[in-house]
Amino acid sequence: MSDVAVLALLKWTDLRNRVRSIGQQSRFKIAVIALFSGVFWASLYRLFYHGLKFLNRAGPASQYLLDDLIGGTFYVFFFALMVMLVFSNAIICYSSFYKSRETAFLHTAPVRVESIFLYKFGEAVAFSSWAFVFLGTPLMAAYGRLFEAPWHFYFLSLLFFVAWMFIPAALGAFIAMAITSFLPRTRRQLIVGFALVVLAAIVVLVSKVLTIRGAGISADLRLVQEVYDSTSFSRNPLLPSSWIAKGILGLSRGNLPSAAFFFGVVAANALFLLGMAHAVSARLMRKGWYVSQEIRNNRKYPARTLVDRLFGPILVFVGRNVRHIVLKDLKSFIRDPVQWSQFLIFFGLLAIYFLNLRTFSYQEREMFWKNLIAQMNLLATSLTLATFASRFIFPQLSLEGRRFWIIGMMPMTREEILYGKLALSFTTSLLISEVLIGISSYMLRTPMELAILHAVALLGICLGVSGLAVGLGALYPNFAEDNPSKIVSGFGGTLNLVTSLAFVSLVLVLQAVPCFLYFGRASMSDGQFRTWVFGSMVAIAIVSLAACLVPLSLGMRAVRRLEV
Amino acid sequence: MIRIDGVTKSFGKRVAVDGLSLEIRSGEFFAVLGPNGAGKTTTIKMIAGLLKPTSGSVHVCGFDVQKEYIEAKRVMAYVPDQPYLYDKLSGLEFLHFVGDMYRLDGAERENEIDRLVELFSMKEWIRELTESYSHGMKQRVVLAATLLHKPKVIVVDEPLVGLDPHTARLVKEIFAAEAKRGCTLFMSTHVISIAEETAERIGIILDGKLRAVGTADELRRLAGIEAGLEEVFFKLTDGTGTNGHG
Repeated sequence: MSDVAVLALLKWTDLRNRVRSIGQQSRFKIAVIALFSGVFWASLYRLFYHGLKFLNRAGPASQYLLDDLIGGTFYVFFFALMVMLVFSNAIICYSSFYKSRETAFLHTAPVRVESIFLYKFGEAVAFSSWAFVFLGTPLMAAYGRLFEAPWHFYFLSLLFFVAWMFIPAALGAFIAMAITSFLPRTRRQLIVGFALVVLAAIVVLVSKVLTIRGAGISADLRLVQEVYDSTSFSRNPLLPSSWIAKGILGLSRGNLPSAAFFFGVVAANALFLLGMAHAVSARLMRKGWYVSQEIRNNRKYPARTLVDRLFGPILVFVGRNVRHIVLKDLKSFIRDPVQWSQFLIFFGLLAIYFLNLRTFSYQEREMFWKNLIAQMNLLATSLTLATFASRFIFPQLSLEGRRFWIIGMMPMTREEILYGKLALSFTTSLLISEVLIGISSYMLRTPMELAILHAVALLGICLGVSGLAVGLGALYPNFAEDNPSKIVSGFGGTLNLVTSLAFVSLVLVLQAVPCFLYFGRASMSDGQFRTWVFGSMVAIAIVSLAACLVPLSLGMRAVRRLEV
Repeated sequence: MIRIDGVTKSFGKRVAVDGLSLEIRSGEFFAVLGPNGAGKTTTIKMIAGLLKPTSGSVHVCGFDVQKEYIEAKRVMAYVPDQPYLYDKLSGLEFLHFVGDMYRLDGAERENEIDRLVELFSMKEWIRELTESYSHGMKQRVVLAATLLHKPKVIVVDEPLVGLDPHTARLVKEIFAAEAKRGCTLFMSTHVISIAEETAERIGIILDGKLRAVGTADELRRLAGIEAGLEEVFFKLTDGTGTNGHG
């Protein structure tokens, strides 16, 4: 048996055993995860379907432009996916090729490095691309239904997806191997450099999208035309994202020769890039491995750092013990570039967008539009917060793992440990989100009532998602795992994400009702609006306190009984 | 069997191993002693091909570990201080995977696996997933996997950490038997009694340099004292210890 076959057999056995392990888990757990996944997929499908329907109905009279406009969303969708996939593949390949204990083990076995590359590359593709398929299939289904695409559209578009995802994966693998082998030799510089390059590229592209010249546009058609023009970069014929967009559009319109041509382009390029990556891996896998083993952080840290001096005074509202736990977690987070680079990209993009709101001249528009944009901004910030809490806060207690005895043995109650995690999550998320929504309100020149309502809604959301993440993190800890992404992908992590999203949706609806009644339909007086806003705030406070306190008290009970 | 020629390994400005030269004969049990951060693990990792020497070369059974790495690894086995196992594989599946990797023939492999399962008393739990194993159980599976392909050279980093007295004794007996069979063993440890008990020759590393090498008696003569190896070790290392990365 060749070494590639041996490794493939290993993966097969591993997968088979994992599936068997799932079978041994509680049926309730499996049913809940399946139900949540189904509901999430269906919600995405409905979102895409109604979005496309809206574009179809509200589009301009010119059929030519309408076709291109909906096609244009495909180009932008695949372009955004391509950027994200290249980035996530590069990060996954880096940790998988050079940081995993399994790779170290395989390097001591009589296996060719090219075979290790193929094995780890396959893992990275699967790990990074399942979400792409999960996001892409509801879009295809919605598009197919709306435009009554032929039956083979659904099957063949999936085939397109599978072939195409190897292109960003191979590019990500190239980037990971090249950067590790040839660029700066410390881990911090390596990741910071890479994150900054990606961020700079995204900033350039986002700025391009935002540079719309239409101050005071009166006709929606012109705005649509300008948005379409500003995304022209995504239709560059040299971009792999444009190949899949053209191929799938060809498929949906029954233009099979065009679809076949672009499938050929995608498949040929995927194979070429994979072949190239395989060829260079013979040299760069080993070279990068040696370089990565030499990367060490020799920086000396003083007993009290800037983090202590900066955040210590901010955390006066918590007890001394809790403050020390928060500062410890903050320092660990700040010193791990893999963690904060993702965080930076999450919130950095939102900040860039909010700071550029004036380029759209929304502040000069009617209140209906201002309110709509402000609501969308609140939605984006809240969803990012929910994702942030699920990704970074939920695994906090699990990450104490084998070190739990350290804080477990300290002269403090176990409840204080959870209060520490809650204070960390609430303080950081509140600081960031209030600044973001403050920028949004200022840029849009929204009325004071709306600005205050949004600030209060975010306060409630920060409290609720923090309580949920900390409480459920304590209810469903995973002390065996050191990798936060793996902790998050378990049952507790999924439950936390879904409940956080449900909670965020409820708060958003509560604050949106008076806004749409007042700004949209003008069906209430100023006095009535203020009363409604107050009522909405009270309702948000009740819901948020419940979302925070219920899981937190359950988590407290679990952590008191915890035996590590 | 193992030839280390003028090997230096630097991590940035810090030199972990400095101009190390050493030759270990076929069938010899060699132990390398040294305080934490002396360069033992770095040396072991260079022999196993996990680190590349900044200068110098390492040969195992005549194969350059850097240039002919597949051939070198085929005749060698490496046991790290923290054993790696696949959580979702049973111990038995792991042993078969290692058998596949070293291309062991079906019947021969089956017999050898049965023998090793018996030898390490793993029969009761070898079909369970390794995620449920204790540290000692994991170490036994790793040692069985090490012996499965009958390596000519075994490189071991701190092999007895976390083992109960019975297993520790078994491991020492197995290593002695392997050396008798003609296998070369290179073991790193900072437990002086283990080195004295098991190894034919002992090397003492301090600050990345080989301070002394020889049998226990030769080291005593070198130190100029008639005492236990512990005293000899302190004499030869001037009672010092280093702190850093090893």
